[in-house]
Amino acid sequence: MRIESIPISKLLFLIAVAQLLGRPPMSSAEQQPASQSPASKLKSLSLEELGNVEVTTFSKESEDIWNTPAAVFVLTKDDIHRSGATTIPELLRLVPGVSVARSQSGAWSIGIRGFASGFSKGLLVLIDGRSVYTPLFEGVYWDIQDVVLSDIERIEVIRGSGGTIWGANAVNGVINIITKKAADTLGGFADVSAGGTITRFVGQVRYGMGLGTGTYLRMFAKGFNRGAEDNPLGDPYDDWHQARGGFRLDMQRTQRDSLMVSSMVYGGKTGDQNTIGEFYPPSQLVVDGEQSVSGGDILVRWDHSTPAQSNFYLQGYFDRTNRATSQFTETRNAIDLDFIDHLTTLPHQEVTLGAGLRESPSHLIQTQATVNFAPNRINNYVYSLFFQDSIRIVPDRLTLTLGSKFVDDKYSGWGTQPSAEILWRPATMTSLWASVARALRTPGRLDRDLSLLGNIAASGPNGPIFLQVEGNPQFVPEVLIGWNAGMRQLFPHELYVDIAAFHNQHDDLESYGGPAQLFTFPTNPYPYEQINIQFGNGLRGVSDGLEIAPDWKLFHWMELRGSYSHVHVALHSRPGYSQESYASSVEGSSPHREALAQAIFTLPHSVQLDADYRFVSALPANDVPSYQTANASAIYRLGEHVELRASGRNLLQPRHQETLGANSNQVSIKREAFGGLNWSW
Amino acid sequence: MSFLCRIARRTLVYVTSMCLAFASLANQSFCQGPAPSQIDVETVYLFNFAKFVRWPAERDGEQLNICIAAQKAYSDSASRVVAGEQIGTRRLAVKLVSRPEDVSGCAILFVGLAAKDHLNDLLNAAAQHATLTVSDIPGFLEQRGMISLFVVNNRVRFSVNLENVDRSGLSLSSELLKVAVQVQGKSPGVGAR
Repeated sequence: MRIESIPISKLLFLIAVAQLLGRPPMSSAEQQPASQSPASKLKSLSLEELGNVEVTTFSKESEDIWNTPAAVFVLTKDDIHRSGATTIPELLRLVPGVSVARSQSGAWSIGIRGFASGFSKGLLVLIDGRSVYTPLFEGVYWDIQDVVLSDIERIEVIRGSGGTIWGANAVNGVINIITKKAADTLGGFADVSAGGTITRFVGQVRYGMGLGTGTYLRMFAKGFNRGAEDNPLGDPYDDWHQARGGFRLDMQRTQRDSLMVSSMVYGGKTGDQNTIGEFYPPSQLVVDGEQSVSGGDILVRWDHSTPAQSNFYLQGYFDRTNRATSQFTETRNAIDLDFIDHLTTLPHQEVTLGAGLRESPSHLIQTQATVNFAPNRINNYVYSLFFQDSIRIVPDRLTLTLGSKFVDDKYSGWGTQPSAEILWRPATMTSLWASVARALRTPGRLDRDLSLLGNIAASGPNGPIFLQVEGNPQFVPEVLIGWNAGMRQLFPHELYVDIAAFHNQHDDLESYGGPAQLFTFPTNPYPYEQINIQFGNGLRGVSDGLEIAPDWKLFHWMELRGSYSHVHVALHSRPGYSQESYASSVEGSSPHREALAQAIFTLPHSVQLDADYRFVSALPANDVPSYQTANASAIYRLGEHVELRASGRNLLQPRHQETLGANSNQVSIKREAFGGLNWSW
Repeated sequence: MSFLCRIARRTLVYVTSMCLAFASLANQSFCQGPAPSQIDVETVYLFNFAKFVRWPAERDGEQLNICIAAQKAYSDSASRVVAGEQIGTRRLAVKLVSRPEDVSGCAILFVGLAAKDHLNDLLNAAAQHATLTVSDIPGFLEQRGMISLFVVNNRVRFSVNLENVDRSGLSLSSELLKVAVQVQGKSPGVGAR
């Protein structure tokens, strides 16, 4: 092509490239004080030495963030390293709009934009492309989701319905945990945290090596032992310990093809407590029982790119989970295949096509007469297809994205989830976006197959009273139509502000079905009463809210971040239902206001100090008052290989309650401090 | 809040004592500043490449322009690196380029991610001017690029596509090729790491 024949529009763009000002947002690059010149030191090195200089890398994805028409937040490896957190849920507390409430040592209620509960539904959580939600309750067992935290490259969180591009269940948001490539974790690394009342011991070790051209392997192992939180009844039942190990192999076969194989196995115990109903006295039994958890997965992913034409990936994985509770034992397998192709052959368009197939057969063994999921053997499959077209109406200024996802699952048949997004970048450091999407939360086994008998009163006029909760074979998917808008702006002096607002219309939300029916069983010798109730799609309503997240790099040694999230949920009964109390329990189970302030110091002499403060409003439905607390951590680097750190968590009071614990215990989260050390070689 | 103060005081005492204890054990420089940025290391590479490339003779005496089609942070960094430098008789200078026709005076052209969509046009222009092309865009060597910079284990390394270099009439010194992670378009074994 001759230069003269290049169209004017391209020339205009190229001028725009020249105008790209300053550094990428959120990057840690270029934090050198202007006075000294690190470049002059680097210049004196030979080429070989230059290749051995450890650098602070900037996130290549930062450019992608500006072009995302959704409320997105990225927790970088640096954020993770500095946070002092030792679990994934504790890391998620740093993400605006994500509510994290610890209900006991190893259990959290995590929700995005309201709708948090221990069984939070409608949240897609991916670890290296592997979806970890369980169709048992359409949620995530957080106690088994873990990796070596220092091997995480980044955690991307999208708030709102990411229904189109991502897998099923992404109604309220997507949490995407991406680990480092094996090539980025060469050599040995060992890390220990110990000394806390909860964090008694966390040890992790990793070794990475090259295996010939373009092939790298990382092996890792991790184990932890955590103590119980504070139970006012004085019964510390929630000890939590676990061990896991695995590997990741990356092969860059050609410039175009790369292959990734990863695998992990784990096992452990999560302390738990349940009340089990019995027909004979004393009618209810409080059982402290550890849940035995174990499982493993293996994932293979092939990435292929043809420059300027397409890049696709094909991945398949097998994931097995076993969980034995005091009420049932479940063994679940998931076999999952996904294919996604980005086509860039058309001018000013990027077409994405994808297909996914997931078979998830499970076997449930009933160990208590009062809890069952019938049938005991079932295959919860999900098939999905999607397409999306991003049209660059004005290149690098205005992009319209249209797409739809089609999902078929065991219970509800094919459903359509269309979406439309528009992104406008009036200037390089400004982006404005808006979107509308329809998303479906497919039914889970809990909604359809549950049969639970619980004792709600040990004695009544006609004997003890039991509540029989039944799944509903007619339960249909919950529907969300989400309207979203937001903006990102980098102001002078490195002040970055991200604002997102939403209006969600919910329909067919889960509640109880028809009115409760009371039966009296005068059977001798133990007469009892039973209230029967069934799940139903009895609620609809709206939720509105916004999140504001500023990030200000004040000086090269000091950064301030904050976020404020507000959500207002207003639900009411659908025609034919009377579920106002269920509605207010959903409305009142997640905080309506949360605020976070973080101060991040990078001081001379390799000292890093981080502190954060948060306020979380009350949960009236759970009788939990509002609280504020703070975390702090300090890291000190001793030369090239050793790093020391100290962490204090929940510092503002000896204990505070965040949500209801298992068995409705008012478990409080304790203050703790612990130390840590890591060594790399 | 007295609790916080106690923690802070204890931590301070602890850290100070540890630093002193370890510093006396080893004579390494502790408490060094932060690691250099990827951008600085990449632009120092560009400066180094200039020393190991032979351009066609007609360019002798001309100013040696390192052209940057990337974010301004790159050209700022490159300007600091080459300030006052000279290679042989050629003075070094940095130019922020945006249009293919600007490439005509470039001895070296670096294309950053920000100009990814226009890589093709820029490479077409570079091909007519004996320009060494360098980039950190993945798959660069497959798109007729000459030297690809990439990060492995937080270190910046590079690979070379010799076929694309030869086509432009440039020649690279064997010293440069020895250090490359991979040399494509050449019999295997030469470009061992």
